[in-house]
Amino acid sequence: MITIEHLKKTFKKNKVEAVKDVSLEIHDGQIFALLGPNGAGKTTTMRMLSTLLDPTAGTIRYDGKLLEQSDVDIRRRIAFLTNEIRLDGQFTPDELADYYGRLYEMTKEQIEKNRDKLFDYFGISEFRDRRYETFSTGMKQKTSLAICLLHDPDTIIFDEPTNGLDILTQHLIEEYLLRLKSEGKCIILSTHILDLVSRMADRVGVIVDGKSVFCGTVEELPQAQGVNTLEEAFIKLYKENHEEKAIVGK
Amino acid sequence: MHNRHVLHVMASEWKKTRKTPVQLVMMLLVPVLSVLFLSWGMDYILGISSHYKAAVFFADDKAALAEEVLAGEYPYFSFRNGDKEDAKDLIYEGKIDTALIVGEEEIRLIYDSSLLNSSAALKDSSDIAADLSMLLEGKEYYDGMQLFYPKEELIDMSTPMDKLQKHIDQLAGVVGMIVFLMMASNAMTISARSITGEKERQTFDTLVLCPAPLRKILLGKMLIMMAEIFLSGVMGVLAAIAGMAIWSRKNFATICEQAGQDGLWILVLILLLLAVTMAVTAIFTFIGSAFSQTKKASLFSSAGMVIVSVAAMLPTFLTTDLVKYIPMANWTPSILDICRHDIHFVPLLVALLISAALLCISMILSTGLWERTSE
Amino acid sequence: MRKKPSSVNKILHGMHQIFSHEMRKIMKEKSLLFGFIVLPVIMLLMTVGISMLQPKDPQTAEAYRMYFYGLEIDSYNIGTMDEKEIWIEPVKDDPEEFMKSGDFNRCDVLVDYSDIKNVRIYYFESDDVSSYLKMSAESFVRQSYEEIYKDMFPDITFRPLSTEDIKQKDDTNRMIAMLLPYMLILPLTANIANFAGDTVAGDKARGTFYQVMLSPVPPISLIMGKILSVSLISLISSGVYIGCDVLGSRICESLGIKDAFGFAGVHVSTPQILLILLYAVLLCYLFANLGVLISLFCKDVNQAQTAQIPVTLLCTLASMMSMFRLGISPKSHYLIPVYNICLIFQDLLNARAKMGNMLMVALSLLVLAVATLVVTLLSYKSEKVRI
Repeated sequence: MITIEHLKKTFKKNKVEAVKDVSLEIHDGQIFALLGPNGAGKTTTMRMLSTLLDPTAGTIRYDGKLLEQSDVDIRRRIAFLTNEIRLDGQFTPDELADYYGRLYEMTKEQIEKNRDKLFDYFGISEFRDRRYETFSTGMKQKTSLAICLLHDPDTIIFDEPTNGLDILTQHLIEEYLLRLKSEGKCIILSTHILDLVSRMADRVGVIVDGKSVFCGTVEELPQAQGVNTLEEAFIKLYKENHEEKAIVGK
Repeated sequence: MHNRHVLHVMASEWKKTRKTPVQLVMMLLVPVLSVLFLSWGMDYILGISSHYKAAVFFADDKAALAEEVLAGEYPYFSFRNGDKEDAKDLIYEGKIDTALIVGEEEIRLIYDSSLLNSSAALKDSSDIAADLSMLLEGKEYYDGMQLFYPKEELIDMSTPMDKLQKHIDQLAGVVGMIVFLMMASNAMTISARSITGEKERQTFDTLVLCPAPLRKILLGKMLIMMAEIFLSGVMGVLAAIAGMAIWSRKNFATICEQAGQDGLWILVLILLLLAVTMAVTAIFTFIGSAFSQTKKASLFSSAGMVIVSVAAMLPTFLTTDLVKYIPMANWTPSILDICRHDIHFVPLLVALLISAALLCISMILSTGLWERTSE
Repeated sequence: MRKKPSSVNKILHGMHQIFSHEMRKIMKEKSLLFGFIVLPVIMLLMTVGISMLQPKDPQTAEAYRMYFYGLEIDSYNIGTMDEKEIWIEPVKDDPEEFMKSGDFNRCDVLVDYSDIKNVRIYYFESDDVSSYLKMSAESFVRQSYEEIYKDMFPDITFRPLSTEDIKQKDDTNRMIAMLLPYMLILPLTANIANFAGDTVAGDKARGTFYQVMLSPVPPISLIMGKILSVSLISLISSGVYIGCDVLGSRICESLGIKDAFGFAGVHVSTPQILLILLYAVLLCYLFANLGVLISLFCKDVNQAQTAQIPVTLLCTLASMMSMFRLGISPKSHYLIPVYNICLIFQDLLNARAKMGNMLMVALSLLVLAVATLVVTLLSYKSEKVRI
């Protein structure tokens, strides 16, 4: 279980307060969807969750353990995939699996077993000797996903996982996420696709202007806002919580 | 109509530079700081090695006597009590260049002919050896000898400018080299960003799709690159003038007296920098357009830097007047001409024409390469 | 159950993984090897070419002359200098008139004995040859008087002056000894800057850096793995450069022709060889680490390269300044990083390197290397690196 309390992040360089106050509770064996408009602070929150960024204030606990105290151990248990993260183009999926597997201190047998399983599932096996840079966008995303999951993480953090992918690949990834969920893994998704949230997520958190304004089950979100659909609930929440910036001179 | 495209590309490229603070620092501040540091360093290094340091060693505690009598006449000699080993130690430690060890039977002179300073001390050493020989025979002989000696009058026929020539030769050489390297470094990064970078960032396709011909876009990029590296060259030259005014005021005054008679020196400097700018732009545009990855372009740019560095070094080794016609190599001879106020415009213009020709060739080749490597 | 590895083992394991991955990456880019292997060799050949060119000689006179006015002497040859003869010549015309005539060159000297108690020597201080001839003229004047003096006081026994040249090597290759360090440092710094920029800033731009940052590899392993891979390839590059140079010298020696590579006659002891290896390792490491440190704060290769120019330039300046030393440098100069490498390299080529100085160079590089590593590790935690 991941507990986030009053998380805050102010970037030192430009003093931008990307995350102001985010508190969330994410349970194991569930898919948690993080919703919010562009620039709301979702990616920054996910980067803090994945240990890439240190929070300015607030705490993140993985099963009660403070993140800053055991970030190396936590890194061993998580996977983080965004569109910004890519793999070295000169290498083949096999070479990449070998490299990242070893970075996670896996044995050769473990690497081979997990790699074959994932490559077979995502249909990478027949391209395993081809350079990553020669792959199509979908193929690259599938390879990145397979490499990310190679060390069998307990927590999987995905920033817009199906963005820009064809329907077949999207379906394949969604299927796999559901399979991971059934294995008791904790999955955190950041997405704009509300349809995906309603189909897959168990719980949802909404962030507006760097503040968490809702955290509960998918069913609770429209109920709490007194509307019928997720979309309506999201828009309502946004309108209620978004601070209009004053326009100088108007 | 097409010229508007060129101007538009230039404006957009300049905007990109303006928004890259590191590039601005590299273009405006680093040339100034490097050349100022170089001027100071040259002054310091040439200052500490402008004359030799020698020492006379006495085994029998006569150092004080010798110092009293000879120190005035031989200012670069010190007088110590000690033996050959002490002398060698001091030479190896770099504290002295030459040593004389006064023995009962003979005077031994230790020097290192591979060191210029040490060799320079040789003649004075043989003179001081003769004087010591007499001094140690008994003071009365020495005094008698002094009276007997003629008065020697040394008349230096060199003009102040003649004396400066060597200094200017060295300074112009290194300043030129560093200013050119600076311009080349800037050209390398600008070319990597604005020419190779278009392909790496995958913005090249957008350029191909727009109605302006590719060669016009490249021309715009080249022109702004020229303007930027010319500016960095100007900054470097201004810093060199400032450095000279600060650290070698006397030399600076002499040069001003000669060169400052009219404003021609400004024109010569502009022509020189323009030739360098065009040659450097030609080299780095060609390298930049030949690759689709910045790291590869940069790697091959090192070869470009070497060409620039060697061209700048040529006048140090070549006596022929031919160097005056080669862009970059014509720097030092032309600076000497400025200092002597003996300016020849024909070689300057020929060098400029060679640079312009290089630029045209590079322009033609680069357009083709740029298109090809994007496929 | 696998035994839990100790933290040192973890660091070493991570470092090994990153290092071998980076090396494989470099090896896969064949064209990149051009910069490290082919370019230094081209540079070396160019250096040799330049050093074989004759240094410029502004003198156009067929011979150098010392003119004497007021002495009854015959003209005679007293030796040669720069393959030109030096002649003693009597002058009949008035010195002032003679100097205005075309016979008196800038490289000549005129000694006016018209007043025996006030000898005048006319010369050109700005001209090296004239200055040298002036010194000879001074000696001539002294010697002539000494001879007269000796005749007057025959009981004086003059101590003879014996000279001992302690140079340890034929200095005909002074030019290459002066050029080599500069010609090695320039491409080395430029190449390392490119590679270091690519391995960190390039990875950041391509998005592959974050994937490694997310793994449980300790920061020191990640940083060291990357630095060591760049260091190794640059070390190989310097090795090829120096190796070609030494080989060139050996070939020249065995063919009995003039050594254009500068290494002939240089004898290096085993401890010196070990120290040279240490310098090479430390220098390559230092440049690589500086490159990595700067690149950590850059978003892409281009930015990294631009930011690294001052370092490259500073190294170029340092090596350039080493070209102007005329004597043995003070001990303190052996503590200035990069400049000291050039000094010791020149000393080695002139067979003048001292163990004490060599140790000082190693020490200064070591201190700087450790300091740079510490700063890099501290910087790794910076937010700017992780955005």
